[in-house]
Amino acid sequence: MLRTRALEIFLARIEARAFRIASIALSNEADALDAVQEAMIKLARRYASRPEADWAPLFHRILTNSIRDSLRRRRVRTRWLMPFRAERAEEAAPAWPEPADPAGDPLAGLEAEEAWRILAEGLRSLPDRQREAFVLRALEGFDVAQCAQAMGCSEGSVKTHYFRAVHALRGRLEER
Amino acid sequence: MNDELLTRRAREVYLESASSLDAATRTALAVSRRRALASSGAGNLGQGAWWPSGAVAAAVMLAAMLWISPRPGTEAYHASLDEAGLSELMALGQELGLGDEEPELYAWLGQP
Repeated sequence: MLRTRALEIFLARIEARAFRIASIALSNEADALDAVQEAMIKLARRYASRPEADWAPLFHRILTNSIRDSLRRRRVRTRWLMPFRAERAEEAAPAWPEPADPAGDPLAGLEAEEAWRILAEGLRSLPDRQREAFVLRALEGFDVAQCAQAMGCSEGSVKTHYFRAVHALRGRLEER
Repeated sequence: MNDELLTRRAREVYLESASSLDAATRTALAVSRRRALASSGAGNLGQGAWWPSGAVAAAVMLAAMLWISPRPGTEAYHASLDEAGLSELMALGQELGLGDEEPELYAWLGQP
């Protein structure tokens, strides 16, 4: 019973952040909710008996896979069922707003939701592995070993992806 | 904007956005969490927690039975044996049709 309670606390603590991460990649709230739910169910079913310290890297690994599956399904749908609608959606993507403080921090002085939208757009522009490395390392605060566990790659790869992500994101935000 | 500032601000924005989700999304996430916990089976997770309490209950019952049951050499032990023996004799006597003839004899046999 204590373990169930511990798992519930873990999921309650992580679910909102997981939703934001899924939203970055999927750009769709319903799909993001589905991906988070799938990750929570898989963690609870398969890995609840693992040490609690492993839950966060495992959860993010499952979430990453759920997001990839969702994107794959969407690509198939888009390619075969809705080619014209997808093109129109891309054309209608919102432009980035004017910077609030061009000289300094591009995210300074913005409303929370607006700052998040800008950051999410910047992260969305990164390649998948770079985005994953940045999310885990910078946003979730994982160390390199945990990132490697969550991403299923070597620590050297994590460092490379993270380094490139930081520089690409900085350039993207400074362009504004 | 240096790398440290970028990552710090990004984390602040991220955490703030996660804490300011709308009520509908928070509710949907809570429902998902409950589904996940239910699907894990309170059963699967709880099995480990149940068996020790079952073992403790069995041990307590065993101890209680040992404590309550009469020990050899005590009056209660003999009384219980005699009661059991008397019942057997009475049953046997009834089978043989002797129960009505010599009830005092069997009562006497049952005395310690």
